[in-house]
Amino acid sequence: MPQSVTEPVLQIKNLRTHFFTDQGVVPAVDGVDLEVYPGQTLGVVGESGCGKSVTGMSAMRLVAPPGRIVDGEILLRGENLLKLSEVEMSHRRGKDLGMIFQEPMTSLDPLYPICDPLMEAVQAHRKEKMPKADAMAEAVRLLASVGIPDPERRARSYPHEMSGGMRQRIMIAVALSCRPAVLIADEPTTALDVTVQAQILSLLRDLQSETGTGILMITHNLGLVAENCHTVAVMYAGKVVEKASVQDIFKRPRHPYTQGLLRAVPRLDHPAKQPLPTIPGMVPNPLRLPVGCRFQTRCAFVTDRCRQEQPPLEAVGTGHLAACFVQPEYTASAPAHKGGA
Amino acid sequence: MTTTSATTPPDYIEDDQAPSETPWQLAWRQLRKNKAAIAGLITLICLYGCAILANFLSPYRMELRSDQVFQPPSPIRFHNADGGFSLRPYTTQLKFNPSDNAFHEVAGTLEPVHFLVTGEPYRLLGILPLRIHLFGAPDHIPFHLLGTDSDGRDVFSRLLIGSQISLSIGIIAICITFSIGLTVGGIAGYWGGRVDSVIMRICEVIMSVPQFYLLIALAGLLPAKIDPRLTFLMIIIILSFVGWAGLARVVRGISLSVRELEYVQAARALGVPEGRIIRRHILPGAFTYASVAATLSIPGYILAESGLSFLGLGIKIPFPSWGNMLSAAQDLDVIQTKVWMLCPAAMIFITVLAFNFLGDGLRDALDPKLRR
Repeated sequence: MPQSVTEPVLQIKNLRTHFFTDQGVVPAVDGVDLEVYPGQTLGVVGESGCGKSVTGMSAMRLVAPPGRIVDGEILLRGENLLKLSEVEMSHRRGKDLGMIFQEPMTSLDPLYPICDPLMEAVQAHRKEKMPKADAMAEAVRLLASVGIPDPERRARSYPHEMSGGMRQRIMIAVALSCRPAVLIADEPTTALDVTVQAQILSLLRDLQSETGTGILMITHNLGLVAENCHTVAVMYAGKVVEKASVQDIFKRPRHPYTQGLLRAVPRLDHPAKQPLPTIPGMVPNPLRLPVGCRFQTRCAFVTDRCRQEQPPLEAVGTGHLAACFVQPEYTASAPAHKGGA
Repeated sequence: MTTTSATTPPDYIEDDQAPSETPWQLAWRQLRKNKAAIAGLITLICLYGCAILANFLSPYRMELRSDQVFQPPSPIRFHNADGGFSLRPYTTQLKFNPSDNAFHEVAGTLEPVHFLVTGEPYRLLGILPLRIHLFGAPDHIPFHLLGTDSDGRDVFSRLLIGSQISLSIGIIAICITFSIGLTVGGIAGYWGGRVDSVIMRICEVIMSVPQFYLLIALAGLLPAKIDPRLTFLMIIIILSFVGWAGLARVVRGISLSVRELEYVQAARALGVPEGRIIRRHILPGAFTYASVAATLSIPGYILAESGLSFLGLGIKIPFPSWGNMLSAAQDLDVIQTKVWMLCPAAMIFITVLAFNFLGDGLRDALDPKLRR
């Protein structure tokens, strides 16, 4: 758990990012509060379409139209990024806020050798122009720091000559080139195979302990969360439904959705013949969200109150918040489903 | 350094010590595999080379008239007066016989064709003053490799000088439309929204005007007696004015999709300024597609110039262009009996085909799906 004495380096308060489509307003992110502490990793988990990535893009202020941040605050060391002009914001990007994307295969411009984005990154946030040779030396140093062998020669290679793992290392080097206070990693290892995944994650951990960067890790991989994150926020349909330390999330999940996600993780100690428990139903249509709790249509513990009132995110333990009126005890086997009626 | 990298096996193959291939080298390697494209490229190099050396290659001045009207191509013989084989080509005089309305060889006029002869003075590339020509027959034997036209001018010489105009119009016009189209389309695609709507509506207005009608109207506005160089310039401007809209639309579509690519997002997430993103990431990405579109649209400009000149609105006689030379081959009699007058049509055909082959090859070579 974060110590109460440390201030969060990035604080997202009541963030609302809505998409104004022809069919109506989609509240992709609807009142989200998150805190990233220096040197720590916050995992944001949830199904596809629950608003994880939009939250990350909102923190960078890179939400493309028709999406728009309609409300909230994004505080970087206490400074509200949403109040900055576009020019001021572009000086924060890369320098104070770094980002790694999901697809390393397309994150590098195929037309330039890989030293180019690195040099672009180290030169982008300097007042006086940096000599090309210095930028190149810095690029080679960065490549070495992410474990690229023979960095002098590799710096002049093109992206198509690199494997996915190598490219993601380069993307990390680019994102960390200016030693940002916060790194937003949007599914950084989803496109990579498992061994490379482990290498990339341990690289991120090492770099984090070196630089004290706070990481916001967006993922749907709970195993990855368990190993790499200090705190976890579970999102569902644009809202945070549970937020706790990684131990509490895995040992004492209080929200039925978190519990469902945990049960859906395949385990070696379960009988092989038994079907994997799933969460029945689908994520509700964001254009027609139900009144009350958004998880009600898929919840086994749904009550009348859940259908009328939205449960607030309330403390259920030390540093443990959950948005559920029922807060059932976690059981390894799936409960009989009675929702959706 | 961290401990991770020491234990990390290199996940690439460590055998190539050769320097990396740039994307251009890769594309060139792809292009070389395409025989039609290479044939097109070689043809075009030859055509443009001939256009540059036109004064040297042509035996006569392009406006020089003779009384040999509609003379068929001069015969070329590889034997001398004694009938023995000779590597040096020989030619004979052709004389018009009014009784059967045809040209006949004049006996006893077999003369050798000489190479690198001194003839009319000219300036190569407009600078180098020279008198030397690739070939020529003795002065008393008119030697017209591709015959003469209705004023007795040498078709071969006019074809060469005309190629300077016809071939350069396509290239210059595409350079202008390319830069306008790339800039305008890039801006529209990258910013999107209202900027995009306004620019695209303007493009559509320009594109919805019947093109040839607009060309004729604009060309008709030109005063009849102006410097031919000015006419040349005006035709290029008119063609570019009509042509940029189509290219801008192509580029806009490409930059719309390139904008969403993750490397552009990554550059934005790094705080790279917008102008630099457009210049360094969007436009080069669009450049490959646009250069294919450009190569494929050059024939359109060549044809448009030919069309205008054919109608008498382009380059004015005595200055030759393939189009106005072809306008002499309008009536059925010429087409049936004076086939050599169709040479400019053959040249247009070859040029257009060569550009299309090259453009197709470029499209395959630059196709990112084969590379990424």
